[in-house]
Amino acid sequence: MQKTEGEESKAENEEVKQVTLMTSDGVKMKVEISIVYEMEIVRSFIEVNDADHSVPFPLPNVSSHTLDLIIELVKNEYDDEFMKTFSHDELKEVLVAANYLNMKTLLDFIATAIANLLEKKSVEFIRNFFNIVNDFTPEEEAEIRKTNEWVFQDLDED
Amino acid sequence: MKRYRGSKVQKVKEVVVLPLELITQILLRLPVKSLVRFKSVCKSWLTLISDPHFTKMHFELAAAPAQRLMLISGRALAPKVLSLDMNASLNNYSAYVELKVSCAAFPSTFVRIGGSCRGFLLLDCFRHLCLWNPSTGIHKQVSYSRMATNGDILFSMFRGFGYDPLTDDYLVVQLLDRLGKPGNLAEVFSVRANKWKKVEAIDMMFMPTGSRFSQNMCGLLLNNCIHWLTYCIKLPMILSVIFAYDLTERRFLEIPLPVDFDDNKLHSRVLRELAGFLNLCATVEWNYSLEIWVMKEYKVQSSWTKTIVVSLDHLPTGLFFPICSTKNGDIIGNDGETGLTKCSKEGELKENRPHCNVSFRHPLAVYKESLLSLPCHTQQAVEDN
Repeated sequence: MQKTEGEESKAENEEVKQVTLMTSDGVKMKVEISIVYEMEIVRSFIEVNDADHSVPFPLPNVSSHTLDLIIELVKNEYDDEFMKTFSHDELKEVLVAANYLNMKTLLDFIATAIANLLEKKSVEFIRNFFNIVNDFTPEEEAEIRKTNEWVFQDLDED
Repeated sequence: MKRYRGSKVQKVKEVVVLPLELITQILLRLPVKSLVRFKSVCKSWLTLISDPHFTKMHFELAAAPAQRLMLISGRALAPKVLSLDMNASLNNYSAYVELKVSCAAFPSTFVRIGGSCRGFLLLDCFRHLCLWNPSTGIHKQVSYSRMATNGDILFSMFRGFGYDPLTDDYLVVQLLDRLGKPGNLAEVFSVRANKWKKVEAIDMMFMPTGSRFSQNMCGLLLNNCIHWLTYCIKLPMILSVIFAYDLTERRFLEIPLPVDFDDNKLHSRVLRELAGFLNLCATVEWNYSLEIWVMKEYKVQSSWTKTIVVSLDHLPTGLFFPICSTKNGDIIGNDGETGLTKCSKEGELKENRPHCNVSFRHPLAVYKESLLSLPCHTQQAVEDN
């Protein structure tokens, strides 16, 4: 797996402690322990078992692509500009992974980012974003919208 | 920054479906306006966004809920209800929305606002009271108490609206001073019990302060207490006084004014909540200066501090009556005409927007956006009371 410049320069001075993670698509990734420690699910296992760090820790619910994004986010201290390059699917995948890995700071960061993205969006945009099927009849939907017309003003373009 | 996208062969894209638990995490971080709109996404979202546990968690998590100014104007049979986002620029026209009001919440007569609490406004509709959440349209009618309608001529009527966190109950408080009869009367309406109850009144002889519906009669809610600023007679003197009703201890009390507060020189004075503190805003000389006193430590007389003196002669209209503060500490007030003025916390003019229907002749109140509903009244609560 790729190593970033940061890891290489640190490696010259002292060997950075790393943990190998195995992603759902079978990729083994060496990850700095400081990042792994943000993943409560891995941290608690390592601490309890004092495991051999060379044996890959399996993450059957996280793809290598998603794990790459997470590592970059943590390394860059949750950089907004970097996160803005994510596709909608990447945002959702990182949210699901953050929840599975029990990364509280990341979960809060990414949930807030998605909320900011959706704040001024239309109902139709939301249904697309979450793959939700509208189960209201047209009459029911019109009735709900009628009671609070003010919330449909000043929206973003979809 | 490196991106790894495209560095691997991607499998056929699977649709990412978020579990309800994670959707809830996102929705909890959205403002009220978005959530009310998203009630029409699908049935399960409507259920979630209306759920009392969700709405309560949403209200408690919001670090700084959007604060809006409610203005009711127009003719008696056609009230015009405007809601202004207090954190937007005064000249941002999309921050002003007109609310369509339901006839049930808003009878076609003129209404007055008697208090504001957790997203609800207390409306006096002249035949009854109404608790109304303008963000969601949720409302509940409250009958007048028998005491308030028994034909006595009222000298003064102080009314307020608040929340008791210990019993998770909303309370309407009113204090009546009957002309020519000794002793004040006080009553509290509990939403949970759905009835009025007589409570011990504060022993003070009040001076009429103009209209029964003047601004000072509407209580200011802060720190689980409702506050009123008025005049009382302590012979041979007539003094300014702040009295309050403690919603958790369920009793009236007096809040001391600043020691060196000389109200003989004042032209107008009003209590306001600014940045979470109790503030006394006093116009010292018309068109000249406004003083703002803040009670830095609640209920501690010596903590009253004169924080700002606004030079009114620098302002467009020469007048400024504070209403509320914004997220970054600016103060928004009426400009003495029908406009709004925003000043910094140092008292420097930041913005003025003339002619936007703001006037103390019309009902006006600050409310927070919330999705909250009112607790249903239960038999248990009735028995407890």
